[in-house]
Amino acid sequence: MVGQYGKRLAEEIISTHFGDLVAKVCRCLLHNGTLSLHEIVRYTDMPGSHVKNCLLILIQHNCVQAFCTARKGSADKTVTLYMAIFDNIINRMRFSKFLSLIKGGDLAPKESQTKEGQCKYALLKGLLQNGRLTFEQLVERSTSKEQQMDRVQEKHQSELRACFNELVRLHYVERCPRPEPFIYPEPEDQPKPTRRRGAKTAEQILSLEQQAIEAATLAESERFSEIPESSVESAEDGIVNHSPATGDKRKRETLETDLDLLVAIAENEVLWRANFEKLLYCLKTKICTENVRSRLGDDAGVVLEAMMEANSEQKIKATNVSASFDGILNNLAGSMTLDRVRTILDELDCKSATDKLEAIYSLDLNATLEACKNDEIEAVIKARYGDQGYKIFRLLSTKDQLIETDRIAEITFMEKKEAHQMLYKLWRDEFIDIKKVPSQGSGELPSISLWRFHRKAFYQTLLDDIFHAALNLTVKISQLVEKQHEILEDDLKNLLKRKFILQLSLLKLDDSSMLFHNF
Amino acid sequence: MSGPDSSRKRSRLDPSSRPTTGAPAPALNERDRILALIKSRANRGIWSADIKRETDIPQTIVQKQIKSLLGSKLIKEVTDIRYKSRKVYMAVEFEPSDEISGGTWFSGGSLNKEVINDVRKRCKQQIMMLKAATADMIYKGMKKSDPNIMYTMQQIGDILQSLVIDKEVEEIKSTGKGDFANVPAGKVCYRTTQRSSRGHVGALASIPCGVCPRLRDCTPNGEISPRNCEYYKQWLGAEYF
Repeated sequence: MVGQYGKRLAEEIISTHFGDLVAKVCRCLLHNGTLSLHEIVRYTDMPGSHVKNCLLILIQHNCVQAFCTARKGSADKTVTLYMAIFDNIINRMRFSKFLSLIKGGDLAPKESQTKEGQCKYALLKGLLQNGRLTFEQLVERSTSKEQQMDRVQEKHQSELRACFNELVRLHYVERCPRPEPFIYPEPEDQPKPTRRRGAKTAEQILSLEQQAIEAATLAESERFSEIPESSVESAEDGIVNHSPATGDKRKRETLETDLDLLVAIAENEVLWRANFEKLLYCLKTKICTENVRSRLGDDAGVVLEAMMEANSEQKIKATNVSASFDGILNNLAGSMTLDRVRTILDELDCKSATDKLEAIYSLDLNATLEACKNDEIEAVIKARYGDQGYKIFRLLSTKDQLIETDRIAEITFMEKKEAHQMLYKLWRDEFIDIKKVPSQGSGELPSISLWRFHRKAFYQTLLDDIFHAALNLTVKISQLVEKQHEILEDDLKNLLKRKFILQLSLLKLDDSSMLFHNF
Repeated sequence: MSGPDSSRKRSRLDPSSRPTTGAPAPALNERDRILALIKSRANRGIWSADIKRETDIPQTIVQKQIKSLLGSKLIKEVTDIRYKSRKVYMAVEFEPSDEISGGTWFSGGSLNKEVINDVRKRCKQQIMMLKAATADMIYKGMKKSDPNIMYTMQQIGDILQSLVIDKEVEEIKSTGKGDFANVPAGKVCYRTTQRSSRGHVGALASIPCGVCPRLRDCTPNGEISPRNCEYYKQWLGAEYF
């Protein structure tokens, strides 16, 4: 569930990147949910053709997904509905981070840049900038950019394809989802099944939007199916098909024709896009690794990174990481001894098991993610309320139970009156909850106050504050960009410095938004 | 007919009619009753309002007698850490209980920060020496290095908890290997935290919005907005923007 400032931030991003008209259509979908074209026209009061163009732009850039379903009350007629994909809109703030993940690319240090890395960087950049492209369009793009001629040079198509396929193999790039999947509506005459008390079924009741996303998503094998080499290129590479019987020649020619057709389709018709799921997973790896490094040392960070890269299922929301010992060692490339790796895996609280004579290590990332989140919240508390507020909050967040005022003062070594005042401030600003119970002793007070940090509810509030702050930074950056054209050259340098500070702050704040929203 | 008033009058006017034996004068009774009550409370002491309620002596007389007892150094005034505004009285021969004084960590009704910091330092030294240690190991180590320390296990536990809260040490389960070799696997123990983990500067906290008291009132085009925000101007050091 996205709060109001999350939606406003998404709107602001679309407005900055595509203009106010597209932002208006996007706002309509974000605030009103899934709508048909007719409904969007009605809500936005824009001509139908303008709305269509705006939708095309949003679909091109993966910010909207279309799907078909049966019109209400009519089994024969269908209607196309459009839904905004909030996460993909927010991902637009992260393009520079995604590009920095390419090893040896343009954002790597000069000495570690490689020709292959720069090629992959250019391909991914093309996909991020344009939303979705065919391979042929990517090739045209790389050869038409004259300033990149020195870097990319005249690429033989197969060299580009090799880099591209590597991106697909590593899942940085994927085939685009189905453009308009059909969702079968639930029959209206059947009563909705009542959930049996206590029964936990594997089937979850998915919303229409979730069904649409699932239906649009291709199967894994198709999604990351690479572009094959054509038969000509295979022959050039010396891959000769030796067939002893003469009768197989026709069969071979037919196969080669089929292969060429597949290649043509894959290059000219299949649309490709950046795979945000993988890219976000890589960012998640970075954030978790950084946290572990700060708590347990550099070696622990390196091992965790190797483990997350070797993880068999790289899903953003999944907190369980599982990798074979060999996979971890491969990624470490001999930088540590086996004993040292095993010691660190134990220190990380990994569980080990054996599967088909292979040692598998698994780790629950929940503790690390909670530690990252706590660091963020505690920093806010310390900045707003000082050391006293920080200590009280640390106590309540680590204990995760109701604690009485006097006991809080005892444990934190605070005067009772001070503790009481601070607790009320934290409660007033919605950081903690209070529960009053009647006093059973013969003391003066009619009730005893118990305090608790309600984690889940607080996370939602904080996330909206993070989006709000990100929106403010975005607005401020836009304001400085407007001023760039008005001020003198002497002041321009200072203005650019301040703009840089705001942009860096936004990048850092975005890490927090990923922690509380995506991971 | 002689009534009560006239008998009192007679005793005042005629000294020979005063009785020589029997109950002492009323003023002495009240003082002794108050002193006896205070002594009966031993090291818990008693609040002046409670003295009035239990002896049924008028407030002004209670105050007068207490002042007299204080002057005679038979009682003393102590601070009750739970109710600092109350005047609590105790016989001089008693020391206030932990409930009243607040225990080891309090002195004169206030936290004794010097003592607390000293014990924290000693605990940390033990943990650094042992790399990872249980509360029991830390306690024994402290006793060994200074047999005169009078703290209990419970008190050391409180100090360790405060170190955990301040992120100076972390509470963790032992793996039985490496730094944890001296602690059986699975046991809760303590070790010092890495320096870098303590100084985390949060993303939200490092910008004006993160600490702004008016964040919830702020909107992009409202009266309070980032465009005209004073906190941003101060932060960026650019009043002319």
